[in-house]
Amino acid sequence: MTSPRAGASARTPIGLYGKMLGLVVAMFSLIAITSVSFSAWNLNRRLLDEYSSKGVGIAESISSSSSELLLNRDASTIQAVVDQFRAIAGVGYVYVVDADGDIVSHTFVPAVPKEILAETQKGIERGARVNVHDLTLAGTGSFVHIRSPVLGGLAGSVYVGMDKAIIHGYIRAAILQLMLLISSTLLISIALAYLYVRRISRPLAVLTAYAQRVAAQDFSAEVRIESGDEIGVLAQTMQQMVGEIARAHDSLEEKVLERTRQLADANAALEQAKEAAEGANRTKSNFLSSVSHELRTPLTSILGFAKLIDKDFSKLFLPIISKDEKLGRRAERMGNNLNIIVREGERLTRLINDVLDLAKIESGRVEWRDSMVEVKDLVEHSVQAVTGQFAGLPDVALTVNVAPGLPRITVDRDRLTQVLINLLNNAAKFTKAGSVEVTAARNEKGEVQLSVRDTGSGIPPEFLDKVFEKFQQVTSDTLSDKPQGTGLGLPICRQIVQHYGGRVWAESELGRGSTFIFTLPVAEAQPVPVATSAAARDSRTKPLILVVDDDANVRGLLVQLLEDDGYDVITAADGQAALDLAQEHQPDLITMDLMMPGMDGYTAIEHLRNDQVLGQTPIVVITALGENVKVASDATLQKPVNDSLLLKSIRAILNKGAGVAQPCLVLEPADQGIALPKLRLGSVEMVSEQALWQRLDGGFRGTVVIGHGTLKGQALDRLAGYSDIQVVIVSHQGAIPKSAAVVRI
Amino acid sequence: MRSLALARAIRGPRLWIALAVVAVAGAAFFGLYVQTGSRTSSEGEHPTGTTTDTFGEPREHQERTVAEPRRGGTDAEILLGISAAFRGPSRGLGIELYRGAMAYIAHINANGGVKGRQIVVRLYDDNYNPDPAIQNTVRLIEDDKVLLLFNYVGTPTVTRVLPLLKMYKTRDVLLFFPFTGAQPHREPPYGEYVFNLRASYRQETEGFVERFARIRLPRIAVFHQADAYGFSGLDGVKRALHARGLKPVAAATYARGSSYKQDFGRQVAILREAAPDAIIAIGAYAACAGFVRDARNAGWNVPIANVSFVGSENLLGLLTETERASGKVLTRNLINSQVVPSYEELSLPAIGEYRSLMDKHAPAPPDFAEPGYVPLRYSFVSLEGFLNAKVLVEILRRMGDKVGDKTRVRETAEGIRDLDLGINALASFGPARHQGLDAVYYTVARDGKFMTMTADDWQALTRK
Repeated sequence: MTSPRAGASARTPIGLYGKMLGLVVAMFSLIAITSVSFSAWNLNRRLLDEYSSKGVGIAESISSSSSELLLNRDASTIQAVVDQFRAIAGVGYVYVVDADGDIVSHTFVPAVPKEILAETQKGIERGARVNVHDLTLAGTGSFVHIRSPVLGGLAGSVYVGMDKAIIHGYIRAAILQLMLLISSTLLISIALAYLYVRRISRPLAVLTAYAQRVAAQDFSAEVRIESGDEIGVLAQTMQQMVGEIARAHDSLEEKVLERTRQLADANAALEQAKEAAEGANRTKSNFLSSVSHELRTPLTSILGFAKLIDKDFSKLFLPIISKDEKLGRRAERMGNNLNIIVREGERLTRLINDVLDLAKIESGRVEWRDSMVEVKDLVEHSVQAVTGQFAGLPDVALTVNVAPGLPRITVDRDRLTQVLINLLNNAAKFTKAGSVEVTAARNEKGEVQLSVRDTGSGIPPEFLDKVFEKFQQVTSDTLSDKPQGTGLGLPICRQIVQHYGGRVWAESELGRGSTFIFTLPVAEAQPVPVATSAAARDSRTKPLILVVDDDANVRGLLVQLLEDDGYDVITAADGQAALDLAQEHQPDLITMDLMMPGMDGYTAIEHLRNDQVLGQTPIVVITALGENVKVASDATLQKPVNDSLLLKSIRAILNKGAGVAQPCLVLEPADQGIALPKLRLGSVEMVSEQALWQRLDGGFRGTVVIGHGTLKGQALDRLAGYSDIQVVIVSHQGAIPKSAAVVRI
Repeated sequence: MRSLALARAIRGPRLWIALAVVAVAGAAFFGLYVQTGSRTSSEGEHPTGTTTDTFGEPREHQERTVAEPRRGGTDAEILLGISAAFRGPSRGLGIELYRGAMAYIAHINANGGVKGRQIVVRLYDDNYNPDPAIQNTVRLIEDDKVLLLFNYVGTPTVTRVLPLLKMYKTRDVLLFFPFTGAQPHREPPYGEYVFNLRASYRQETEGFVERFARIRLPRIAVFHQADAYGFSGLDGVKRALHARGLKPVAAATYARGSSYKQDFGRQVAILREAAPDAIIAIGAYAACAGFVRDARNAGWNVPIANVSFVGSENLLGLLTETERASGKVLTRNLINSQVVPSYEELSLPAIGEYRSLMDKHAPAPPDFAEPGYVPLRYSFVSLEGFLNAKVLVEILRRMGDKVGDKTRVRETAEGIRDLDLGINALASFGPARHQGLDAVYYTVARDGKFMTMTADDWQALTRK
């Protein structure tokens, strides 16, 4: 950009002048060539004509005046006449031939040319007409040769040669003059062009230099062109413009500084606001966590104890009391009331979980564990999860209709399962008889569209949109029906679907059923590398725990509990789903229910233990079955779950080498009165007291479990003397039920 | 803004200066164009304007009178008009012819003139060119109103003047004794306006041919001036040869006005190629002398015969001067016909009279004549002029009281019969005879002079 400008400034005066000069020279050359050529041609033609006719005139006048003289053979008079015409310009020669063919008179010096002698000797031209032709005489030149007969050729002929050299001389002279004229005009024009171009180009050069200085932001430059023409006006205008630009430039700088300051201020304010917002968010999260924790802890206790009471009441007291009719009725009512407490407690738990879930989604605190998921797997998984629920609805047929060849979608498998289960739960709730159909297909936009259609009561049109709002539930016709669910399921579904750029909506015909539909965009073909177990685990910042339970409430409880303790949690509703998820996510630990529809916990654990990759994954069994379950788990806990025990166990298992990972010696009780929880089956040894001391003296490190009162006095003191062991004293005294398996440490 | 700038620009003084320059340039261009155009056309229309190139710049028509009264009225003087060459290569002819005539006229005027009238001569130079000769003649007739025209020199000049004389027929203007032997003024239609004293070129050339034939030199070539004079001589040679069944074996020409300095090698070569026995030269003395010089220098000693018009003394003078400078002999086999006897023939009474009057008056060349010319003491030309004047004075005398009457001139002149001029020949005129003498004399160059030829001289020409 600089070089052409610099070149232009250096070239401008010469360039303009050169171009003008070129133009002038070219124009004049053209004019000169054409006019000279035309003049030469024209002059030659005209002069030849002129000289020919002149020659004819001369020849005829000589012949007419010499007819008598020829007859008289008066050579000198003829010659006098000939001489007279010879003097005329352009006449090269004149000669007269008499009737005998002798040249009686001529003007040749020094002698008659041979060509003419030869021609004359050939024979006498007798023609009566004047004829004209060209003749070239060696050494003399070329002529227009004219013959005029005297007395019709009888008395002889007069010949006149018009010298072409003279014609050519005239033409040369004329061309020379023309060329001189044109040359002088050309010189004048060049001089004029130079003067004019200099007049134009000098101010232009000044202007250019000025413009270059201005371009270099030298606004102090000045230009002085006082010519009154356009250039002068241009210069003035330019200077005004430059003034404006300079002012604008200055104010622009000020403005930029000011704006920069304002921006910096705004940034600082934004930073503060962001910090405040983040702080608020943290506060809100903390609040939510603590509230949920605070709510759930007592709720779990209330629920747990209510269940225990109910169990004990129905096992122990009801058979006794039912014998008395009055008490029996009371007992039955108490049983019903206990059931209500449990049910409402569970509902409250779900509500809290849903509220928290929704809050987490809305606040973006959910970690979406996206992976490539087969739609078919997703649907089957969900359907399996609700088979239990539909088992209680014998009049409802659950059908699955998945279109073949559906693409995989990138979603959080658990979340989408949650959506489908939620929709299926709703369908189950509102359908007494008929069918529920799950359909997966591609819609016209290419999205994957999933729908759950039921033949239930349907939704009034005015509620179709509202069902996705929080705490909106469709009131059924029968007032006696209590609303079921938390009223947050569908809003959560909407949040999840919208998170993946999909839509969810409901279509319904009152009394004939509803269809809940959602779409999911298809993941573009991005093959997700199958993570190896090590890679999957190592890439995690938090330990991942897979919770397997067919009861969504339990799953929700466990998820809440574990997430609050800083774990990532995924869930599965049955053994097969658990295996799939475990394969996919390589969890650090699995909590496993045993009694589940589909694949039960025993089978799942067996599969897991036989798996090469997952064989070493710790499994904590959480079961409602009695104490004496025989299963290859790392720990077994009873439902309802004591969350601190669970968390401590999980912590201990995950923190390898710090606790349970170490071998464990259990002193065999003498009375066999207590059942110890089965802790890490292969590394727990049941030993006698004698063997215990031997092992301890042998340098055993790890945990020693003793029953309360099995070691007394000196033995306890001795045990306390070992430094590298942890001692667990298990008490089974008092009201601690056998099934509770509460471990006090 | 733009119109404002334009208006300002138009008002600016520089633009007006520029416009003025353009206008001047345009005018110059146009002027030059017109000038060029007109010049071209004038050259096309009036090509005669360049005649100067052929004949030389025409001289101012010089006017000088010799006798005292300029135009003292017809009672006091008799006015004669002369147009001749007083300048240029042939000036020797005009000057000597004039001097010879003036020797006699001065003598007559000194003795009271004719019937008490002084003879006055009006002189113009025509440089041996026809156009000035014509213009001079018109002036002499129209302005000077001369009694008669006298002593013109040259064939090309006289033949062109002849139609004028015919035109002025009613004014009775006659030309007396022109210095030329050509035929036109000896034949119709112009013969009646001219009185000749000398023999014609035909007579001179006929004499040469006849004499060459006699000594068996039949192959004759001609070197001649390319004009009426030259062709008149050539015609004479041709006629003479034709009568003997012969033709000239070659002819070469030169342009009238050629000087002695010019090279005549080409003409020599052309003629020598034809291997002639003799050459008859019809030319003026400068060119003929040049031709002789170049022929002799080329080692060609062919006899070269000149006719009377050449002016023998002038010819010989040039050649002898070159001979002295180069040491080469150039004048061998050089002969010359004359129409007057040699001035060495002292036995003739007229020669004595001529010599004494020439010595006594020694007429100077006209003061407007080209300077540097050395007059000859005696010459064939001045002798001819002397004899011309003598015959003319006799005619004027016979006119008596009516000497100023032009209408009486012809009658008087035609009345002359057997007039003895003292040269051993009688001059006669008549209505049918306008040539007074027929005698031709042959001379040969010897010892720097032209001497009357003897039979031995003729025989000597045959020796190669």
